Amino acid sequence: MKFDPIVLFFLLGIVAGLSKSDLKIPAAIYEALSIYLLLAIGLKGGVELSKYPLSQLVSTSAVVLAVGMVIPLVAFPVLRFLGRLSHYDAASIAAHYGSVSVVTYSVAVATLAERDVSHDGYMVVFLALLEMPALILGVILARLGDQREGGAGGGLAALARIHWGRLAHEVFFGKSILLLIGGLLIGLVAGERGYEPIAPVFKEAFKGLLALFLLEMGLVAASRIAAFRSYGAFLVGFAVVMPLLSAMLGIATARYLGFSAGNGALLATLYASASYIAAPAAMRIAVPQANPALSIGASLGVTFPFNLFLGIPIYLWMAQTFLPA
Amino acid sequence: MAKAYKLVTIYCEAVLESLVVRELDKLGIMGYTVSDCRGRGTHGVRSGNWRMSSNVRIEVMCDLPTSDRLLEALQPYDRDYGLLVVRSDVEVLN
Repeated sequence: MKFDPIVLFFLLGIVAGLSKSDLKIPAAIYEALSIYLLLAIGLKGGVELSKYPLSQLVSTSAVVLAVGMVIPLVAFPVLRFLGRLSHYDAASIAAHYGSVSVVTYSVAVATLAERDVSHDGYMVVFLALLEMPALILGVILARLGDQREGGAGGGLAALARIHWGRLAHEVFFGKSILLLIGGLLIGLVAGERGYEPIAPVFKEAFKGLLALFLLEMGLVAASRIAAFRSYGAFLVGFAVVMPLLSAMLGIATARYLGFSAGNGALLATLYASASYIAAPAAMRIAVPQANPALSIGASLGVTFPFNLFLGIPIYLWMAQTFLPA
Repeated sequence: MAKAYKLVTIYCEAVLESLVVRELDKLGIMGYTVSDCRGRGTHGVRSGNWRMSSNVRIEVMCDLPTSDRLLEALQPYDRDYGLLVVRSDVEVLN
């Protein structure tokens, strides 16, 4: 199988991490790269979006969003009752898998370009839309669990104890949504002509900087892979099977919506991906009882590499088999 | 003339910083210093290579009763987060 070179950067990061190399990417560079990637993806989507009538996207977005919410709602009982995890951990992991990974999406876009499969730029709108609702759902699931297990308050009192303001602030004004939506709006206003002068930074350099970010993610993922044994076989299995099921859901949804193969592969990738930038920070604040090692270990240590090496080619194959070119 | 104060040093997860600062505000503490740090503790190695494994050190100078109230305010976070609160005597020289 032929891999895109950027995926090999991730592998290099993993090798460096596992071999305890002294390679370390400064935290400031990591921050800068993630800001760059989010803005660049938002901008590109915004520019593409300026070419389409927005009204057509509304009903499609509603379907994509509604189906996306099925993922955490299925994942939660599976983790809770099959995996026997605490309801905090189950809710937190479900939120990670319901949310999406910007980098996985970017790699899928690069893979499509590599194989000459076309897609529509407005797919990035779904990326922005799918990022947050699952996080809110995760917090609600965690709090409802509180109540069932004899926590204080009956009825919907458990929900009243959620710090909605703080959660909303973290979710809507956390850097990932802010930059993604902000970039989208700037791109929308700028259009193709306004985008052109800044394109050398945000378009031409994109893939190289994505490669650097993947090198860093490889380093971080390696530290999670080292702790594999503590996750338990169930969670590792979940982290592989869940994205495959979610991707199938994505292909079915894409078929229903009449998407092309390229768009379908991206939707499948979005559903299959698990967040590891926005979700961990939001869940750490909103559901502190959940063990972050489990959710980050599953999403970053297993699902992310799985999607990179096997998932994306499989989703593309599924899309090309079941959807019109 | 040197003035005696209590120095409270809070080592915690980076995600907790805004919550700790909120507690400082509630107690009317005016000044504090935050620095990034990394290391190892009961929560394992905190390598600082991305936000979820970063720690911060928050230093606050206040009087004894305020430091007691601060500790009390931070208590709820102790169970679920990596958090270490240390108090020492210091003299402010200027």
